[in-house]
Amino acid sequence: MFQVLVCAALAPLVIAADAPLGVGTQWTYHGTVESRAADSAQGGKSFDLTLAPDTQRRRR
Amino acid sequence: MFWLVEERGRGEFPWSERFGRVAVDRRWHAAGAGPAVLYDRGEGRSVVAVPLPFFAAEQPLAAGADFKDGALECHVDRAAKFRELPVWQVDVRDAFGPKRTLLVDTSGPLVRSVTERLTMGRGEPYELKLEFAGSEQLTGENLSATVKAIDRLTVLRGKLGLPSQSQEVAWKPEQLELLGGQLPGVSEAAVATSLEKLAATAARDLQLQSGRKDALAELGMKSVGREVDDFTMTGSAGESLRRQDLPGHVTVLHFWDYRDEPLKEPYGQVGYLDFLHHKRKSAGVQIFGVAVDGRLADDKTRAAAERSVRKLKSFMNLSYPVVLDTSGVLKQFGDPRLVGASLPLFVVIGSDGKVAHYHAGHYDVHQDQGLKELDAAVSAALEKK
Repeated sequence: MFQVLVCAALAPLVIAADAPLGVGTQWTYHGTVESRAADSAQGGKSFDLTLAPDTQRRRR
Repeated sequence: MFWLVEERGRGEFPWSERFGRVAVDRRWHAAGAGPAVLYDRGEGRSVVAVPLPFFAAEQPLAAGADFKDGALECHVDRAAKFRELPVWQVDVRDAFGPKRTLLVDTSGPLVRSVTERLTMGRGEPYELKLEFAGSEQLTGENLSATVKAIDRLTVLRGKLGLPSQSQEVAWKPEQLELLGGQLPGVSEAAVATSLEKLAATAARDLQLQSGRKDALAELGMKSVGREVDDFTMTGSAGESLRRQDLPGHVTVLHFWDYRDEPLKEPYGQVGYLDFLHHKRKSAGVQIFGVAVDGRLADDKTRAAAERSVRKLKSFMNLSYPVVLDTSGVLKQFGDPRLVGASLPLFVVIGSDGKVAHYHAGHYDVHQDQGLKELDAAVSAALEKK
């Protein structure tokens, strides 16, 4: 069984072994890619990313 | 980990590259290609890898903590908030300096925000931002439907046999047939799941490409057997091709943009065409590249277009002549762009001055035999000579 250990006092994150992410949970993220050049007239790009733990395969 | 990407602006991958599965190691590093987006810089396109928003450390996180993650150096800068949620701000550096800033959940491996510095093209600086938007718990039927849709799409993509991260896809007849048979079932499986939109995009693409295939077949049918009309085309290095030069020769015309940038593989297959030129020139076969570039029609931009042709010819070390289509010669052969397809267009003209072969798009390449289909068309035309 995968496990995440969380120490509450300092709220640290310790990965003791592979961590579980709830089966069936689906996360969505909004992303952008833009030029950092000061003189850039380029419009940027945006995207949405959906992620879900694979219910078919275990983490390696 | 299953992933799905929807892109807006500056190009996008074809639908078949917008989803996938990626294995992750115990540090949440992707083992293999994970999610990516395509960024069109105008002078070329770059694949931008999207980091997986998970983070692991083998020691407790606390403000000021420093540790290594492989070749990366991590520094926990401070405790912070992401929309009222407690997070650690972690700065990550690589050998070149600051690489990314993460806001990591204090209670788990989820990263709420990523800001990453990257470079594209000739080292131009860009920034990728990824921000948590929401989560949903899939249960029961919805979960099993999502898994089924993922599996079916993955299997279908495997059967299509595409190279990884294909930036453009023009389906071949057998792929169109496969898609026609299987996409309706995939679309049905994807209803009310996060893959529904992707399946609809795939169905639209199938419809569009099937229509294009039919339209191209019609253009080819109209062109083949037709006597070539009068034309004259010249090149900037004194090359020349006129209608009256055709009789008595088998001629291959390769209509393409012949621009030195953006250069995209497979470069109009000019390398293979040059090989064919060497192989067949002793048999009297003439091969001409024909530069099709909107800039040739305007006196102000024509010089730039011609310069571009010369640079490409030199860069690719082409031995066959390239002439410029300044008067719409392409139209008389059937411009594939008019039905939504792309150049190159390969045309073989027989020694009788009639079109013997028409092929829009890239050929299947046989490693040992190069452009086998074109070579066969040339052979057939030579036999009639």
